[in-house]
Amino acid sequence: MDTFLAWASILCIGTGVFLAVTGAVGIFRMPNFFTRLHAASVTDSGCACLLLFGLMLQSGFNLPTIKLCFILIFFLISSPTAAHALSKTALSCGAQPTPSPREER
Amino acid sequence: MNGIVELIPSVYAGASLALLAVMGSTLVRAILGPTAFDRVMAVNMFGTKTVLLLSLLGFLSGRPDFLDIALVYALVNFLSTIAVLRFFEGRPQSVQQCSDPDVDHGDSHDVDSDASTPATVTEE
Repeated sequence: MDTFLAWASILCIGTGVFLAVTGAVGIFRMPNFFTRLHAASVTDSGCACLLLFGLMLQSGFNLPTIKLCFILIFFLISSPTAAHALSKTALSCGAQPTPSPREER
Repeated sequence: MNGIVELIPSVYAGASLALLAVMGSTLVRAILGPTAFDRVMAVNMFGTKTVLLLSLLGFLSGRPDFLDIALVYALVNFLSTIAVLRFFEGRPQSVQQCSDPDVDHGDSHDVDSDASTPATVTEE
């Protein structure tokens, strides 16, 4: 059982770190503000969920798991809210989501 | 049989190093960012990765008391992002360094009245 939990948490943490690196590449390679926001927000949610779930599997049923649950629930609420507020403020300030991203890098 | 369980701290260390690299590149984006919103987005992502790094370091050093600090940091990070966005709302000059300068920001926001009434966030 310990071996299974260790493999599961290593899988979760590895996938979360892979998503984090993908987001870091995405905010450099994407051409536009809104596409960069897409890369950052998607990988924020996925990376946080997978990493915290992997840590939960290692912790067992005790107080740190409850704290990790709190952090996870707060991330699930706040990360899409922050992305929505960012894109809404950018639109109201006049940033246009242009569909021709190739030449304006 | 027991080798994979002993591999867990090195997994934590590797994940922490990768998160540090991600945070460094996020800071580079925050410095380079063409618009102000790129910088806000990068700072928000930096805060998220800081919370994850704090959790990982707590488990790496065997003291999960760092989770309290991570929780407080998550709350403060979200509030600071919303506050900075509230400051920028209705100020079209904050995207002046936008990548295509020929887009006309022609919407008629009155900047002063919008900035002086803080209850107009959810309108329009």
